[in-house]
Amino acid sequence: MKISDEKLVEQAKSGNSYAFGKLVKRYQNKVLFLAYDLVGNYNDAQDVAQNTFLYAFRSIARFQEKSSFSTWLYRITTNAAIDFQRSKKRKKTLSLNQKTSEREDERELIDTLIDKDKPFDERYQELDLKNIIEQTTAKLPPQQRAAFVLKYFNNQPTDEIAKILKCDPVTVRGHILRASLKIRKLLKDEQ
Amino acid sequence: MKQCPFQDRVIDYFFGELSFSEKSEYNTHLSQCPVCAENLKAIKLISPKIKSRQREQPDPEMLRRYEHALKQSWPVSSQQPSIWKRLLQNFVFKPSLTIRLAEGVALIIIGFFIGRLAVWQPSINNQLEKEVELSMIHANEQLMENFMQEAEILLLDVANLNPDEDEQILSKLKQLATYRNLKHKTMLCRHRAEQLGDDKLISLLDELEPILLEFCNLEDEMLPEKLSEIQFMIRESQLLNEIKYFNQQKI
Repeated sequence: MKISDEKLVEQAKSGNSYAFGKLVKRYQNKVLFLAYDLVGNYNDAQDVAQNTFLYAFRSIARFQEKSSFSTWLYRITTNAAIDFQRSKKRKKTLSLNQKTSEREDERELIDTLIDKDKPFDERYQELDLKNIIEQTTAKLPPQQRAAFVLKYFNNQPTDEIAKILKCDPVTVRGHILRASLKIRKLLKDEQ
Repeated sequence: MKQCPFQDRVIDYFFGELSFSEKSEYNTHLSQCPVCAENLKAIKLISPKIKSRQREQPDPEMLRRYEHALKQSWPVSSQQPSIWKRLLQNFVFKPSLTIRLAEGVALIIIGFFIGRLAVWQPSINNQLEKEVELSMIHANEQLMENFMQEAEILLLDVANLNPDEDEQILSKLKQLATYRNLKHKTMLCRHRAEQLGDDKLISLLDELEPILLEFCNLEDEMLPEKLSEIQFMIRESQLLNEIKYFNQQKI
């Protein structure tokens, strides 16, 4: 029988690391995919996801259970992703070496794209749409991007997103609307 | 841009998060407010496109490392071996005589079915299959031609620009190339050309790829400075003529 999150949280709070291990197993993919949607590549997403679980483990004793465990965990993921991007932005310099490594990353990306079993025409058309959506989300301010990703890619209700982002539902709706209109404008320009 | 104090409600309306009374109230509002009606139209249009975006799957090796790292930090259980370990123990490492016999019979049955599958040929309508194959080839060729035409237009524009005067046009061109994902498409088309074994096309795309990469990866402030280098690359390679020739042949 599946043990509930609440029960596992209770056990983890009393120092049972195996119970926390079960929670990790239950959420490891969801956290990784959310981190990917927020930072845009799996190498960084892996770091963000691991930091998320580490932070959650260290602070689970302070978790007051006012929201569900998943909401709490997604909040940690979102904050970790936002912090990660800010520190990455600070570190970003225009050195030649970095540009070369960016090109290598790009090469890797295209290699994974063309290795897929999908036919050429499907991959080609996917690139068109995927690029517009991902480039636009990447340029959104962090909170706006998080709200957009949680709504469209993770199907979270507005109130839940407000809890995750610790802000007002009106602000969340505003973020999502603005992001949606930006994408609409770009798609319109494309046509 | 016109604003409406209720415009953010359109999100909850679209995603079905309003109560019955709120929904009917907002329906009335929508019929009177062009701003909200326009926003709803926009969301209705983009939503299926965004939902159809498929998340790139992680590299299996990276996923394995990630799962392994998490498992090392927080093992799931210490009391008893997992169900898989027990199954391996009972069926692979230390099976009883009955299980060994059952495994033998199962292997014979599986072998029989694999043998049948290898020999069995499904009855297919060859004519129909050929037609589908031909139409696929035609569609792929069409995409390749579209790409080459896009590349020709871009190269022609870039080659004829004056770096001192057309700075804005240059930045627009770069934006266009990025949004149209030309550099990734080049790599994709090259892969397709390799599959087709078209050496001529491969060498053409090999020449095109570094130029597009160089152009798309330039920082905006470096654009005018680097433009002459890119223009030199285009002239030196005779690429424009080759692409023109390729496109003319297709026409």
